[in-house]
Amino acid sequence: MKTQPYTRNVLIVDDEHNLRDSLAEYLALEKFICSGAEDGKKAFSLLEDTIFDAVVLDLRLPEIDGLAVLTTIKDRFPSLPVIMISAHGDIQDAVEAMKLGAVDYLVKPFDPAELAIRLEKAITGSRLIHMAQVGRRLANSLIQIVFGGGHQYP
Amino acid sequence: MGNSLSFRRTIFVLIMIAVASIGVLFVFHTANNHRARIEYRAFQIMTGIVERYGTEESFTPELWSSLIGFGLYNNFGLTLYRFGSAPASILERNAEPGVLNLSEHTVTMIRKLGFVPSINGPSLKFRRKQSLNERTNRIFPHEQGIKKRTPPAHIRFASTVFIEVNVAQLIRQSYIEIGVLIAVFFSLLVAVPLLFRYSERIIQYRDREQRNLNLVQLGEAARTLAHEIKNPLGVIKVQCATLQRVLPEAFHKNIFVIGEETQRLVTMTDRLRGFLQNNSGNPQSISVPALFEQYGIRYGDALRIKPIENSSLVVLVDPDFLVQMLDNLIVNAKEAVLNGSSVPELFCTEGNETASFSILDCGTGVLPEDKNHIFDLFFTKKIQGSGIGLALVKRLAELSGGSTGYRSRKEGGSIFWITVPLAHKGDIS
Repeated sequence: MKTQPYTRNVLIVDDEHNLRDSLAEYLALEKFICSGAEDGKKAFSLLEDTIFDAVVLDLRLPEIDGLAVLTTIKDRFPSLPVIMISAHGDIQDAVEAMKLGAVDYLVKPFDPAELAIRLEKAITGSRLIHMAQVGRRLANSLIQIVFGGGHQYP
Repeated sequence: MGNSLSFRRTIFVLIMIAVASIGVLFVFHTANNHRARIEYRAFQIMTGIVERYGTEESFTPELWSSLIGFGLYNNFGLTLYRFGSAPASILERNAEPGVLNLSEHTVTMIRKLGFVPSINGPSLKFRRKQSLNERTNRIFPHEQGIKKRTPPAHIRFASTVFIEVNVAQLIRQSYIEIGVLIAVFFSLLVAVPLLFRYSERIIQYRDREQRNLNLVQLGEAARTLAHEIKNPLGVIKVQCATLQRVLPEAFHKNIFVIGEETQRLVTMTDRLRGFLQNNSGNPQSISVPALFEQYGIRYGDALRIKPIENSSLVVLVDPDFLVQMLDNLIVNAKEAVLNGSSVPELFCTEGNETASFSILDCGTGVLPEDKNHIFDLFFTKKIQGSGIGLALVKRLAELSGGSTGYRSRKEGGSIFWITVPLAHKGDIS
């Protein structure tokens, strides 16, 4: 499994290759490293092989629906932030995506600069949470070493 | 379509005139043939009785309820068989064979035997060369297979037959038949135009249904197009942003124009999608004073808001719909005022079941010839207008259970208004 700890790896899942490539090209200018997947299966395959910092996921995908892909991603990679994109301006879709664990929702056609900002925020937030979890685990280990079993970091 | 309908109507009228003429002629003809019909029926009875007499052992003329008299006579006019009013001698009646006497109640007929003309009655239609047994079987089918006896000897000597029949029943039957014919004919005369009109209506309904179906399909196609167009628009926007970053500043203005036009397309697509939606959204109770407060903050000095008399005025409408309708009207009002010389005014009045939001401007107004089209889809007089804005306002107002309207002001300018339902106590959460 490849790891790229100091880069911002983003997986773009959209069946429109022009949008995928255009987004990747723009995000590359913003120092993101992007990979593309045209459907859920390809996305799962890439997620197994590479560690990504965020996923940009289209709501409408062939074969496996975007919400189903989101559910699977959140099952396998709970801390991976997912930003949903859709041509629908339907608030119900946004609410459903948020309930399933998406961190953000953008309606097409969106400003890529806005996507870059939201990705940045999502990745930073995710890393902070991750660091907090690591710190908490470290603190617990120290407490158990010093005070013995039964004590925990609050 | 109109030509086809008028052509069909002309053809129909001609057919009806032809049918009416034929019907009238037929009724007259039937009435004139009244006597012939009775003669014909009497002749049928006579033929039947003679046939029966020649084949049955026990001939009982009483079976014929309408039979008054029946007799068979030889060449000398002397009686061979006599029943009822039949004379003892045919010479006594001083009547020649073939003579028919049709009185008010009876018909009397004297005929020569041995001459049987072809009879076209429903039960007596047979060929000349058929045997007597075959003929009898046809007349009395229930007796088929029974061996017939040889006719009695005296029938072979009979040359003349006399018959007297009570015709009251026949005449009544004849009149009933004519009456029924006339009734059926006039019923048809009334029913056919009704059926024609009904068929016309069915054709009209079918055409209308087809047109509605086409419109629904067109709406679906437009909705799908409005949705699918977002992907290419998204790609253009992303490409514009990329080019903005990588190209020298000299090209930024060009990219800005592309971006601006793309945004116009996005707005038009969104409006078209809004116009094509067919549900009332998510109606919620909205406090009008609170809404006006928000509008005051949003538009500032660019919009004058008249205070509302009823501070607890609440309407029931989808908030997005209401905001979209008001925004469209306010933007139109602002654009109608040249050089921003005056500020549009927003005010609300309360009716029985609805609240009316009005936008007043002191602009150029609407040309008289455009008044009936301003709410039509794609009707616009603006250089960069899409013609969707006011159509969308009307559509959203109707979907919300309200209406929309316009009138010119005497002082110049226009007043556009929308009405939306008032929220009842049960609706207010």
